[in-house]
This record gives sequence, structure tokens and C-alpha cells, in this order.
Amino acid sequence: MRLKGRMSDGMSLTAEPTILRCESFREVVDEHARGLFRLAFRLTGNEADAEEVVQETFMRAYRWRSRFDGRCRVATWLYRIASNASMDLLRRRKRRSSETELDPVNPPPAPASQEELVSGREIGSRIYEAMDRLSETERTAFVLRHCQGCSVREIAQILGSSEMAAKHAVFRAVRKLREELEPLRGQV
Amino acid sequence: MNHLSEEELVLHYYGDSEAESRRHLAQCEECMTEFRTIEAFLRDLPEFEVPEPGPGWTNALWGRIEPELSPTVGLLTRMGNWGRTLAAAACLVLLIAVAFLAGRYWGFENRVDRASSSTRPTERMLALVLQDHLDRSQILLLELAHYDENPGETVGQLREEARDLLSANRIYRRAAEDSGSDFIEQTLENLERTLLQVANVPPDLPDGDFRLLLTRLDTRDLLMSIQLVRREITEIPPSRLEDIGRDKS
Repeated sequence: MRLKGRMSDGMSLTAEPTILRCESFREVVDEHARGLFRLAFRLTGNEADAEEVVQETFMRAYRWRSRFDGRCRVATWLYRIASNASMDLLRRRKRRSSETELDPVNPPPAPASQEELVSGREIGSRIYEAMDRLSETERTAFVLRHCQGCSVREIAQILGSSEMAAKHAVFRAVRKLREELEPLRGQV
Repeated sequence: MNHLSEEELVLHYYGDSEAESRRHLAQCEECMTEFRTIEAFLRDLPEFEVPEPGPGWTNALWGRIEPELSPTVGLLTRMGNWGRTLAAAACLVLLIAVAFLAGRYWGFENRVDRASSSTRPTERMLALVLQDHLDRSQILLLELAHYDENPGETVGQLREEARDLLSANRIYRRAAEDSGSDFIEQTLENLERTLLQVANVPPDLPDGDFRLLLTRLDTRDLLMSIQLVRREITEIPPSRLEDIGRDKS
């Protein structure tokens, strides 16, 4: 997996002044919706959830637009809201699934067969499981760095942390993913 | 120099390593071998295939968002705290006046049902102005409940938002009391207590003390109550003020 979907995908500096003008909010939506969808999909792993997150992100951004102080890019600010909205949604989903954990109608998926394991496709599906086991910060930091191509500085702004903490979160995510997935690579 | 750590090698893959690390890596075969392993792992990770939304997707998205972006919200945000309080007070006066007139008209037309339904017009009015307030309160409570996971939120921002909501909440609670909506009044009273605690947080309160305060707030039950109130009031279609008159027949 290479660095794809750079932060600049649909994210430019041109919208900065417009976000504070409600009559121009449509332009903000047009400019950033697809970039936010990619981020939300990578964080939630689900198209319907990603759409919900994008919608929620714009609603929150509109309500909180007076809080935008221009110290970061509009895209970074929206990424931050979208990351939080994704995590809120994942938490709700986890709570719901723990309530239906013993539901006989929806049994857990059967373990993969040996053929599936060595097919390489298994690694593809296992990465989502491995991602699920990362902490919220690690998962967000990894997606932003590895998939979205955000800089460490941007990740720090999105997470509201120091750059050192952002770097460390990316590293912890990579280490956990290697622990989970490298044994599978050996079987391919 | 010692060999590079796994973390330094990962940073190097993403182009975030220090110059010293890069120099070492260029000369150290052992570190380079380890780096190649990490590089191969990260490079070969399967793509997160992201479906590309269709060409009309943004329009559809805007269609869902636009109705929620009430112009009143934008106006109130620009008016500041005093402006919002005045606007809320004006809404209340209007609400009481309309409710009073509607109640008189109702009573004149249908004295038999007056005792059982005299509060309905006021409830309908209250429902109209309350939805946005409850939405914002829900968001604040969620932020408080997940304060640990949202490192971007500062105590100052949360306090300001609580102060903002508090003044409006008092007015809505009194309106609910006047309309006899017991459950709404009780929920708003509980909300007010929580908002008051957050609004009164000293600006220099240490983060640890703020977290301690949050553990004492019962946000979960409050969120559930708000959800129930929202469900109750959204059952009344907000655009059907004319129903007040129609209900009489």
C-alpha cells in the first residue's frame, strides 16, 4: 500500500475565508466532501458509516464555525471533526455490537480456512480486524499518515497533540499491525 | 552511533527521520536490512479500497445538510451571547403571546375540551424552538463524556459553550414549566445543573481536576433523557403551526 489520496485531494487553501460565511457553506461542502469521505471510509471501513460521518462533520462544522480561528487549514479542521465523528460512530457501533454479542441470529464469522489464509486475500480482510484493535489515536494517526499522506504536523493538529506524540502514535500503529499481519505474510 | 530503533526506521519510511539517522542508515548494513523488512511490509499492505461516490453525490449530500442549517442558527451565532439571550427572550415572549391567543381562541371555540388540551399550543411552540437547543446540548454532553478521547477540546471551549447554552436553557425550562410539560421541564432542569457546573469551571482549573469533575457528571442518563425529549417533540411536525387551529374542529 503506497501513500495515496494526499491531503491535497480536494483540499485547498481557497476555502479558508468562506467557512465563516453561511451563504458560502455550500462551497465548503463541494470542496471537501470527497476528501472527508475517503478519510471516513478508511476510519470506519463502511460506506454507509462514512456517508453518515461526512454529513455529521459538516453539521458540526457549521454549528462550530465561530470556533475556527484560522490557525490551521480548513481541511485540517474538518479532518479533525471527521476523525472525532468517526470515533463517536465506532464507539456507538461497538456498544451496539456488545449488546448483541450473543445473538444467535448473527453468529460470528467462521475462522478462515488454510486456503483462504494463504491466498493473500486473507491479509486484506485481516487488516481491518487488525485496525480495529488499534487505539483510536493510533488508528487515526496511521490512516492520516499512511493512507491520506498527511504530514506529522497536520496529524498533530488533527489529534490536538504534539508532533512527537503524533509520530509515536504512527509508530505504535505500525508495530501492532506488523505483529498481527507479518506472520500471515510468511505463509503466502 | 547505536543502531536505529524500529521507531526511527518507521519514521524513515515516511520521510520523517533525522539527518543523523539517514546518514547512519546509508552506512549500516544491519539497519538497512531491518529497514528493508519494514519497507516491504508497509509497501505491500493491501490497499484500503475506497469506493468513489457518484457524480451527483455532493448534491445529494447538500440536499440532506441544507435543511438542517437553519438561518436562525447562523444569525444567532453571529449575535454573540447577549444577542442570543435577547433572541431567546424574544422567542419566549412571542411563544407566550401566541400561546395565549391560541388558547383563548381554542377556549372560545371548544370549551368542552379546554381542560384537557389547553397546553398543546404552547407545547407545539416550545417544540419548535427547543430542537436546536437540544442538538447543541447533546453535542456538548458527548464532548464531555468523551473528553479523554478528544484531545482537541479545551476546557475553555467547553465552558464557553456551556455558558452559552445555560442562558437559553433557563428560558426554555421556564417555558416548559408554563406549558405543563413535566418531563421536558425535568430534563431541562437536570441539563441546567450540568451546564452550570461546566460553565462555572475556573479558567485555570488543572486538567486533572476537570476530569474529576466530569466523572461526577451523569451525562449518560441526561443524554438518554434528551433523546427521549427530542423523540417526543419531533413527533410534532415543526411546520404545522396551523394545526393548532385545525385541531379544534
